[in-house]
Amino acid sequence: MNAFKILPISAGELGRRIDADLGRPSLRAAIVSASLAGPVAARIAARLRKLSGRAVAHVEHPLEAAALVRLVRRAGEGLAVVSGIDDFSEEEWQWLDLLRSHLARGGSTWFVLSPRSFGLLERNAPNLASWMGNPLTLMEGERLTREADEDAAQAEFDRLSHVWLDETMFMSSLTRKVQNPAYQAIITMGERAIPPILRDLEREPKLWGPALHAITGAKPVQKGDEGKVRRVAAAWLRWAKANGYEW
Amino acid sequence: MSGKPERALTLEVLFPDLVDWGYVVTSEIDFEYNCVAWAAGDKTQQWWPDEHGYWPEGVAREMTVEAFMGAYATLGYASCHDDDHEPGYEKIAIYADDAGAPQHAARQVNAEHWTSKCGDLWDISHPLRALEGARYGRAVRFMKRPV
Repeated sequence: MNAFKILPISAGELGRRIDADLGRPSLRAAIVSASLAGPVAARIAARLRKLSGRAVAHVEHPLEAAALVRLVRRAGEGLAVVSGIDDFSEEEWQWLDLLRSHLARGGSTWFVLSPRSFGLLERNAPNLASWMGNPLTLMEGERLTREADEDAAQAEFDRLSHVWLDETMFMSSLTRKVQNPAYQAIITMGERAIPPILRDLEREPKLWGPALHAITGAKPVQKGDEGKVRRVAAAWLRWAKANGYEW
Repeated sequence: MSGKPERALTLEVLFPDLVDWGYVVTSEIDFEYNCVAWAAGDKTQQWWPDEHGYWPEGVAREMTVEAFMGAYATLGYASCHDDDHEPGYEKIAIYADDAGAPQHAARQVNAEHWTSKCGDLWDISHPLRALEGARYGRAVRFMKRPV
């Protein structure tokens, strides 16, 4: 009974669709595996936010159809991305079909659905589905997930490094700087912290050698260069390039 | 970082006594050296006795005032009794917290002023006691060498 032609698109094409929809009322469905729905939705929300310069409501795991509609409408004429509705029963989908006119607002609303959820949508909310047009399915979900995770890692690093600088900027003790909880939290991020650290090292060398050593176990700094901030940074950047890191 | 402010509100929040004692910002922000290096006249590296910092060869890498005095001794400094200005001598002060752990060092400029690099922040000229408090502790030991 599949009346819809599912359009496989790349991540770049998805971006262009988002751009094209911006500024006009639209309901869209993107189909990805259930495990990718959250990260892909976050990615779409980030792109909408960047392009529009406006707030974007990311409605995650609404408990029921009415709650979903309420949260989307809270975005007013703005933009919304919905994900995490795999637990919706057939009845909730039917309710959503009845409430569909409340979702048709001034801005774009993206539903990021698993294949199973899309099947339920087709069967139980055919009118809503017809408003969405042909759903898009992502061929590059893994890449999008990776990019979303990189965005999240950068944001986490930015937050922690600001806290670290705020709390330690007056200290001369390198030991206490490294022991600072925010610095330790960056180390706990593991490999995810490496690209943001390398970007920061390249921009303005700081005390990132101990964190990189703690995460990677590597010791690229030449004996006698300890404390020489620029040489330490250069040694780590060389090491990262040689070991295939991209940042 | 660029632009040297006349005053630095960040420092006044961190070290409130600076406001009453008076101080002058004398550099831009620079991550390349720290206070221990600056007191030693070195702007090229960060001195600290752990594995992350430069520390003079042969001096114990430990967080004690004695180890810090050992580091400055390699530059010709010898222990002295006080912070009085003595023409013909250059003095340094080592600040330590209540547990005796060194937290800061400063170098004497003249009878009233000392110069300090405040962590990652600016170099300032200030009265010795103006940086004493919860963050750096107190100036507990002094050393001098002939100019």
